[in-house]
Amino acid sequence: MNSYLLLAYGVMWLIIFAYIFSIDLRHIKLRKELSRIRTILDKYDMPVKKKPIIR
Amino acid sequence: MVLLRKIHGSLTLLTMMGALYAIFVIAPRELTMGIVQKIFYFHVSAAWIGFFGIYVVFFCSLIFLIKGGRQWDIRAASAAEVGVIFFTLNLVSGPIWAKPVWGIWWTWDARLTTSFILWLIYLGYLMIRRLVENPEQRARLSAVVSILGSIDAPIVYMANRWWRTQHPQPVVAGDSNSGLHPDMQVALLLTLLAFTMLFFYLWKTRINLERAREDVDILQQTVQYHIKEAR
Repeated sequence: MNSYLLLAYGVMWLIIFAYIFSIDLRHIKLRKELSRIRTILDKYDMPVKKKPIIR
Repeated sequence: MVLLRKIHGSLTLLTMMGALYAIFVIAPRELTMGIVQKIFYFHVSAAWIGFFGIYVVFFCSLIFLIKGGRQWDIRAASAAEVGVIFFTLNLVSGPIWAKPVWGIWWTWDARLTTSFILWLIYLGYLMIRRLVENPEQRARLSAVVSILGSIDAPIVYMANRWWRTQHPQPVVAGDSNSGLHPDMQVALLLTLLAFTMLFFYLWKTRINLERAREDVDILQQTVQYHIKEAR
């Protein structure tokens, strides 16, 4: 197979997967932050108007 | 909702596999350029979805400026990020295709330059969203930038029709000499469908992330408020 064709499709798939991976990483970071805040809220019994859900 | 997203994700993956099959098995090899022409399917679809993303940003920003509402700002910002990714695919695949066909990676012709400017405008849009801290100010400023930036989109589209460019004339929706082999059309349409589904999947995922981030910010502020009260 032509090396330019391989390079083009390789780079494009790399970008797509890197972006999906970056969204996933940001989700994981947010979940960690949320569980940290929840621990504080539960520990000190702080009232909260809306409990967030990470979809 | 989770089940729907899983179905959407699976269908996107299946369509993408179908598109790759159509590109590499069904579509014939182009006579002049040979097998390297198969970059065309992803290159063109990425550009179209990039444009689509820019118009989603434009409409969401316009509605935000007219009606207000945080959800329109979130939708615009998420579409901008996904749109930039598709434009990046287009801008990266273009030079890799150009090198074996034109003998050069890049040239500053009207089509390529306006595309590059459009990409820079939307990178600027994303940078504004990171730099401006006040949410209201950030939303308004980025909405204005996206509306002004979208003016470049029709110029990019028309560039190789208005001016003589190194970039080839359009093969779809071009003059009477333009057109594609029916099997090439199938491959292009399938790729376009797969990219459209991928755009909506990523957009929805990105919107969920932004909403969750906003909720976490509110919680952080609540914790800080309670700590201040306790002191």
